[in-house]
Amino acid sequence: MLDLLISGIVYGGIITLGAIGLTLMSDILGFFNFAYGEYFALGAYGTLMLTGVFNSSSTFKGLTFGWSMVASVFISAIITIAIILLIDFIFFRPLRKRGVTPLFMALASLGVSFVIRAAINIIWGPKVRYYSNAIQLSREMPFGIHITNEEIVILVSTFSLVILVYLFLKNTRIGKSMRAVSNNELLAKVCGINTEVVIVWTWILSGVLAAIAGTFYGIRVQLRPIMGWEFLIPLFVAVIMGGIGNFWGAMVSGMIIGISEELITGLVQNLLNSMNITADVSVYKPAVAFILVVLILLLKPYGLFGRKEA
Amino acid sequence: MGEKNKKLLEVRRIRAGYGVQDVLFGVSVSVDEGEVVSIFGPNGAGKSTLLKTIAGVVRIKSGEILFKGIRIDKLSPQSIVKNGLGWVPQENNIFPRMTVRENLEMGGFTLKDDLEERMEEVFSIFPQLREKLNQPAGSLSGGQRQMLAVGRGLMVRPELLLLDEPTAGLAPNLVHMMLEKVGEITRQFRSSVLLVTQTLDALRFSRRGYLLASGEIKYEDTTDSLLNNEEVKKLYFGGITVS
Amino acid sequence: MDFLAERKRSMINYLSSYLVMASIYAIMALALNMQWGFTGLMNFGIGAFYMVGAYTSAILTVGPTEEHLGGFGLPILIGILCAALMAGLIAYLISFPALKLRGGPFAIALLAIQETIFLVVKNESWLTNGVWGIRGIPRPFFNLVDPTNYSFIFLLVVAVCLIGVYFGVETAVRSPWGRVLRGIREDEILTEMSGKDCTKYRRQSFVFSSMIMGIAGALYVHYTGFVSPQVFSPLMSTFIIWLMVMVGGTGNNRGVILGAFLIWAIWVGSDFITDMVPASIATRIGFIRMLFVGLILGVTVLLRPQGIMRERLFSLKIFAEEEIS
Repeated sequence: MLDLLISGIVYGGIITLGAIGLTLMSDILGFFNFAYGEYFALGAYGTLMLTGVFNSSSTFKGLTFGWSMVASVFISAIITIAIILLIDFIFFRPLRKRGVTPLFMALASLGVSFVIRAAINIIWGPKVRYYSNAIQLSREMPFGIHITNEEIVILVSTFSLVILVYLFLKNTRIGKSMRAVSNNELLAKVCGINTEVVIVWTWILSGVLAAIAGTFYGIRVQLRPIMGWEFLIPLFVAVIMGGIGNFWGAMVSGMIIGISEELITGLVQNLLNSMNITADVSVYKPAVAFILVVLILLLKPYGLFGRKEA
Repeated sequence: MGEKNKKLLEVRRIRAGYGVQDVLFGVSVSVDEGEVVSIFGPNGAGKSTLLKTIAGVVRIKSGEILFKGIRIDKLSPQSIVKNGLGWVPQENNIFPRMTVRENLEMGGFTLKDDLEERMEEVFSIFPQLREKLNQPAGSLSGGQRQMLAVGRGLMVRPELLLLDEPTAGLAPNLVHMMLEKVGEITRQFRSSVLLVTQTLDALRFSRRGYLLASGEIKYEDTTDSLLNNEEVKKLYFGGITVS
Repeated sequence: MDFLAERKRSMINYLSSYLVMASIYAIMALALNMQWGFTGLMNFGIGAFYMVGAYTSAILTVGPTEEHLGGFGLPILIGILCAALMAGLIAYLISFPALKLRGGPFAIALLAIQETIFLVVKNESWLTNGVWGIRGIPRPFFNLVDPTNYSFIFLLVVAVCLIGVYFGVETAVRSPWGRVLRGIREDEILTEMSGKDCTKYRRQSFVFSSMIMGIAGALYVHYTGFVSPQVFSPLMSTFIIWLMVMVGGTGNNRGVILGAFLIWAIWVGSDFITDMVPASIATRIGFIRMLFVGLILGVTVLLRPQGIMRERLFSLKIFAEEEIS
């Protein structure tokens, strides 16, 4: 049971990274970007490609990856951002200038998601991929918890990243201008803030988070072309639950969803197993997130933490 | 000819509105350097819209807006603020989840290095803000919020400040205080102010006034004359006499 | 001579099967048009209702089998009717929470519903035979002709359905009920103030159009005789129909039918390209098509977002906002 909790926390951390990026993007860009899941996938596959390029078999002690992974993640993030910005420039920006409604932008982003997913399928094929064939060793921790070294790395990195992003938003000029636009876009313009610059930085920040989250997911689970599409649901649910644009909301919701998905499916699975019913409950994980958000929205239409005050 | 060039702001016969619905029908106003000018009138007259067109937030459909002799009606709000024109909207005029200090920082976003100095100037007008420096703006009281909103606009030391009903929703004693501050602003910052108001009090702080109703300027005169104009009083102030 | 005749025959068969699928998609497009074009519901999970209709009719009409739930052997017409009812029921149930949402969250909710239903169909083999699918689904009038000519018979069937749906939807949309719907789409607050219960109208539209989607799904299985979850990928059961509606003309029923036939022609046409490419790329051809289709959507959206045929009944304000800056 405790293992499920840890598993959920790690998974929740990955969702949180993505959710923070998505909540900022949804708020500042003003629409739900269905292609965001694909940025997540791009990051993962980008790292895959680059580790292949580096082709180094050296690993850190106790881990299944080495410096080549670290370098690859960074470069993959840069490539992912470049692609995101390109898509914005060619596609979203003209639409934005034309003043199309958010609904329409969402629909357009759906198209983008299909294009990227198709490209991933074409380039890497439908088979499942892994960063490394080595088995991730789990170690014994106090309280009888089992956790792999990889999961520890993911947890620590996630935690650090969240803090970094928070500091970035709180203290840097760009971070503050992003928050200003999120709080009150019109007033931000009136203060002389260039919203196009803010938008570019939003893409950059959320792109970095998506790419890293994707890689972490790849390390922890696997890579499949559909991974982006599947991850959309927990991500969006986290954003809606936490309130659009709400940094802490996204973080807390991400953790809640991650933990719930693991715990609930794990417990139901145990229950079914004990009743000798064979069924694989883990496939229904996305449904858990979905049911959660329906329940919460029924009670609190603006998410757990609400949006902005007047 | 020399007189005309001295006008800080000139709005000439503008038509503007939202979508197909027009709100302003050929409105002309002007503000000189060092003046405080009021725009008053009933609800829905288009007063806020007028300020919005000047600030570049709403596009005009015809006419011209000149600021310091240059046409600004096609510029973006970001460019306009860099030219020395500040706008304080009536609602949604602060960044609620940012601290008081951050709000002022945003107000001074375009400043190169005078940030601290300018903040001190704002504190000299609104000392209460200094105490609330690290509080989220959304947690301030109504009066404090208004002060912050105006303070935000002052950070760039605008030559012309557009104030949209700065006293709206304030308790009477705060109304008076705010209006006095407006006077201080013009003296200390040497800003001109274009003030939209519905209260009589504000009129008294300005030299000239325009009566805007149904999207048209009905009267334009010095405030003394306006306040003594029976027609104006009857129609728009419900017969409240001014002492 | 024989060779040419045979070639001609296979071309005609190809054509008729294209027409059948395009018509089925056209029915879906009409239903989506009602939801999005006329009611403003951005449903990214229409595949769910298509799938529910398909499987309901399949399960109810198929003969006895041990692989999954079945053996009812009901007539096809009953199957189609029940497909509509089932799809409508599910739409009705989810409408209660879902219609409280707007825009993006609504789209996501429906997307999640589609994913969930897909998971259920794929995994609950006792019901649906999982990924192995359901075979032997009866086809209307199948015994009347030589199997190779069956497409023509079914084409008649589906054409009748398409015409029926078209007139049904047109009537609904031009009726007083339809006017209220469009009023809700354009300005909900105003419509609410004139005393109309907006949620009720939206629910009615949602359920009605979902039922049509169920019928389309049922028609599909009674044409192919076989169904499996893979058929209902988001691409083939949701996105491609959105494309048809957008390209053909949102809010214009004839337009979306045109869009359906056009997009499906492009899709099927790309099959010929498969024959011409080397084998290594051919396996990925499905995704190359997806890429291509996505790009078409992108171009359409950039150049002509309202589609080929404009809506004639009302100005479509879904696309542009009014105040600038």
